[in-house]
Order: sequence, then C-alpha cells, then structure tokens
Amino acid sequence: MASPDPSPASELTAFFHAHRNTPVSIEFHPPHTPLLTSGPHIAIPKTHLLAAFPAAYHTFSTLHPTTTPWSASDARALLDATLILILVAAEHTTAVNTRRRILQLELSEDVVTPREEMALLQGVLTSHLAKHNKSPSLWGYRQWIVERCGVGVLGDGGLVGELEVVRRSGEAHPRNYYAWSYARFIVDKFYSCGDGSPCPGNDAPPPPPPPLLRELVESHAALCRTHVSDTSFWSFLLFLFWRARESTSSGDDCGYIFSITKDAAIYAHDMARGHESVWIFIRTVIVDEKLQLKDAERQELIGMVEGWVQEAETAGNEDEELVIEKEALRWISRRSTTASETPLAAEK
Amino acid sequence: MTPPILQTSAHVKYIQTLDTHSDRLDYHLTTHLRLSGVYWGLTALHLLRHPTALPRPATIAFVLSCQHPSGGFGASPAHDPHLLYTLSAIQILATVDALDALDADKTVRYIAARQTPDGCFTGDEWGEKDTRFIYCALNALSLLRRLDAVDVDAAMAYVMRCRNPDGGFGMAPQAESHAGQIFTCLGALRIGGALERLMSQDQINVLGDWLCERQLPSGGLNGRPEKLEDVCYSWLGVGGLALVGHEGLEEVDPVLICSFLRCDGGEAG
Repeated sequence: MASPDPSPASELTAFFHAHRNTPVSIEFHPPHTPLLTSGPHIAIPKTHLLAAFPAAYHTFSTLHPTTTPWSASDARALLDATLILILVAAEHTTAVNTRRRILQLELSEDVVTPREEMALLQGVLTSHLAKHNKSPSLWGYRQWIVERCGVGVLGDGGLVGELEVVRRSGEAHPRNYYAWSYARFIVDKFYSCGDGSPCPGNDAPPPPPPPLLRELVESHAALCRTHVSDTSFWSFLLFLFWRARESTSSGDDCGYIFSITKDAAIYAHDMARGHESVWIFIRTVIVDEKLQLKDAERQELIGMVEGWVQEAETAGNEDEELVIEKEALRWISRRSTTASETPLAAEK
Repeated sequence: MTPPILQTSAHVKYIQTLDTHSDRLDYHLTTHLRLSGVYWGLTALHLLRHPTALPRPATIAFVLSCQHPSGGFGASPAHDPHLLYTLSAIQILATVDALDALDADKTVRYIAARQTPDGCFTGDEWGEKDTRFIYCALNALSLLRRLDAVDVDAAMAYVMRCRNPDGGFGMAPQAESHAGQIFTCLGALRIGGALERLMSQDQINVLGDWLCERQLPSGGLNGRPEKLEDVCYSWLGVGGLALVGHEGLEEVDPVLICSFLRCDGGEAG
C-alpha cells in the first residue's frame, strides 16, 4: 500500500530538519506553484504555507498553554509548529516566546541548541521576506539569545560575521530599522566589556576578537557609498563615529571622522547626486559637538558646499542635488545661530 | 474636479464583518494581533460617527478574555501578555466606557513591572526595550489615572537621552531617528507633562524641520529619508507636529488630505 502524500506542514518541517544548523534561504512564491527546494534554498508558495497553517495552529494551540515543562517530543513538535506560525506572521509574539521557553529548558541537542536557533534566524532574517527581515520580534529574539548565551554563541563569525548578517538583511530590506538597531547592540557587546562567556551546552571556543574600531568605521564608510540611498547605513556610520570618539582605546584624534565626511560629500556631489540620506548625515556630523570636529574642519566642509552651490547657481544647473545641498547649508546655519538648550518652560 | 467622497457605510460594514469569519483561514492568520485590530476598528467606527456599530458586551467580554494571570493582556485568549496589547485593551475599554470592568490594580502592577532601572520599559517579560513601550505604558496608565505607579521622571529622562542631533528621536539612545519613534517619544513627553520642561525651542524647531522634510510632493509623509510616503507615516508625522504645536501645521497641504482618500478601498470598504 502506497504511503499517503506528506502533508504541507510535514514537507516544510522535513526541509528545515534537513538543514538544521545551516542558514537557509527562503522565498515566498505565488499561489498554486510547486514547493521548490535546492540544497538549503526553499521557495514556498503562499498557498502551501496557508495549507500548512491549520496543522501547525492545532499543535500550537494544544501544546503551548501547558504550564508543565514540555517533553522533548512535545518541544520538537512545538518548534516545528511555531516556525510555520512565524513564517505566516513574523510578529507572532507568543510563537517566538514559546521557542525562548524551549531554549530555557536546555533540552538535548536532538531537540534544539542556541546555535541552531541563531542559524535559523540568520536564514529568516537575510531572506527576501519583506516582513520577516525587518521584524522587531525576530531581531529581538536574536538579541535575547546573545544576551543569554554570550557572544560565544556567534561561533567563528564573531562581530564581523554578525555585521555581515545585518548588512545582508539590510540589503534584502533597505532601511531596515531593527537590523541596524541590532548592529548597535552587537557592537556595544564587543567593545564595551569583551564578553566571552560560554554558551550553555556548547563547548566551542569564543569568537575571534573584533577589529579595531577605526577599521570598522572605515569598512562601514565604504559600504555606505554602495548603499548611498539607505539612511540606515549612514545613521549607523554616525553611531560608529560616536563610539570612536568615546573610545579610550582609539589612541588618535579621530581625524578620519572629518576625512570620511568630506569624502562622502564629494562622492554625493560628484557621483551620487540627489540623495537626501547622505546630506542629513553630513549636516548632522557638522553640527554635532560630540564629534569634536575642529572649527577649521567644519568651515572647510561648509565652504566646500557653499562653493558648489554658487557654481551650480551661476551655471544655472538646478537639480535635486543643488536643492538638497542648499537645504543642508540652511539647516546648518539655523542650528548655529539659534542653538539654545534652555527648555521652553524655563524661558517663561 | 469633484473631490473624492468618503464611503462611510462601506467602511463601517467592512469593520463590522471582520469578526464574522471565524470559519475562514484568514481570520486565524491574525490571531496574534486581534486585540489591537479591535482597537483600530473601534476607533475608526467612532471617527466615522458609528460608535455602536460593534456590540458593546461582546467587545468587553473579548477584551477581558485576553487578560493573562499576570495582569497584562495578550492579542487573543491564551496569548502571551505584552504592553502593546495591554494598551489596546485599556484603550478599547475606555472608548466604550467600560474601564470599571477591569481589575485596574492588577493591570497597573503588570505595567509597572515592565519599567527598567534606567527609566525605559520592556514590552514584556522577555526584555525587549523600545521607546514605543514607554509610550504604551504611560498612555495606558494615564487612561487609568495611575501614572503614580511608575517613575515618570526617569522615563522622561530616558526619552530625552533618545534625542539625536539631527532633531529626531529613536528607539533607544543613539538609535536612528524615525517618525514613528518620534511620535511615541513626544507622546510620552506630553503624557508625562515634560515636553516644555525638557525641550528647548531650538530642539523643537530642529525636530519640526525633520518632520516637515518627511512630506513628499504627493502630499503624503514618509517615516525616514528616501522612503515612500504612506498613510501610516502621514498620520505619525502630522501627529508629531501637532504634539509640539508646530506653527506650520495649520497650513497642511490639502493634497495631503486627498492622499488619504485615494487609499479608499472602494466597495470592499
């Protein structure tokens, strides 16, 4: 007698079981197309996911409200079910929390390990899934695992590997707010306390030490030029500037903050015209006292832009870049002349 | 050109039918946010001047069925509690004048327990911090008239630490400025009675500049530079400008109003 066709849920579960500890790539395909897999890549038709949902929902509804610790088999069933629920709805808080509770049980490796969850999350967060790769729930879950286990859970990739995950997620979903928020968390995790605490149930060695902060700044600045319209990339560069200034181990006057900002302005003017994101970054660097630009540096930047504006107006070259540069100068001048930190109530 | 007309009855009917499809798969696909969905639908009905379009007793009963033993509310019965849904629960009960149905002390204890030593709030027991959750907590406590249950000054100080030199606010200190976060931070400062006490005119001006730059030629607003405009961020951006009493708000471009109406779903509601 022939075996019955596998259910939609079991087909998905089989794929993810076959690729545990491997970051998979997931796509959603149009309805009524076939389920496709190739190595760690899966294309799930929307209709297939919806067909898998009822079984997953039933398992979840039956098992998750229990107040007693789950057995290994129930935990595994819940992990399979909650993954489908999360694929349907990234912000399914209770499904994500159920996975946290299972990790807390510290069951055997056959059930799940923190590193396996990190690999699964990496796959989901870097896939082209519009809701998932920007999900605060899923990025928050990744952060929770690192906070609970320490940076040892990151394995050989360390900080650079994590920032690569963020970059890929940011490319899959531009202006990815929660990905770059996680990037700030993970940078601070490495540069503030050198946390190398071991991960429960994992004997792997701690991750490699992070690069020098200056190297991180410069490599990210290069990335910004290839993602010039992505305000989150530029905002993270500003964050790294702050960290560089605050760092007692930088050992230099951070003159590269000025040179990187100047290069960004020249790049925007010459090569990548009309991008508001760059100029919001540049004008903020110019006025931000925390960055401690020298007056001469500040004046050089402003003078350079004033020269461009004058040149463009004289030549009659009125384009979006001219508008943005003029607005940046106006914004800077307003900050310089009206700056007062006196709260409104105190003025009355 | 004849201006578009708001299809009120279609919108009311659409909202009313949302809870009548429990035999359909798509109903269960939104279980994880149901309580907030009820709040959004109920608020829309009130704005459309159909406040009784949803049955009041059933609405109250559903809200209370979402309460967790900890005092917080989940999105649906047996879902984990979270400040997002706890706020929605309180907002719904306030809207239908049923706050007396709530064990307020229990809910207040849940909310107060979410505050961290630095003044921020976590969304739930699992520790995710975000200025959104400060707004949720203070909004909820304000409706219950229980702001005394938390350290409001510490929350205000935390919000101000989330102010960026570009004028905006982010989800945490030194996070990216974002129109949604700006709305929640300003909302928190207003509820805490601290906006004028802690923000200078220049800080309000640079914030206003940042928000005004969100308006695109279509009239709609986006949430951050070089993003597309949408109805959600149009509301949040204008809301933010209103919270700081921005001088230019009275001159809101009328095209903006039409951009909302162009999102009308027609006969489907």
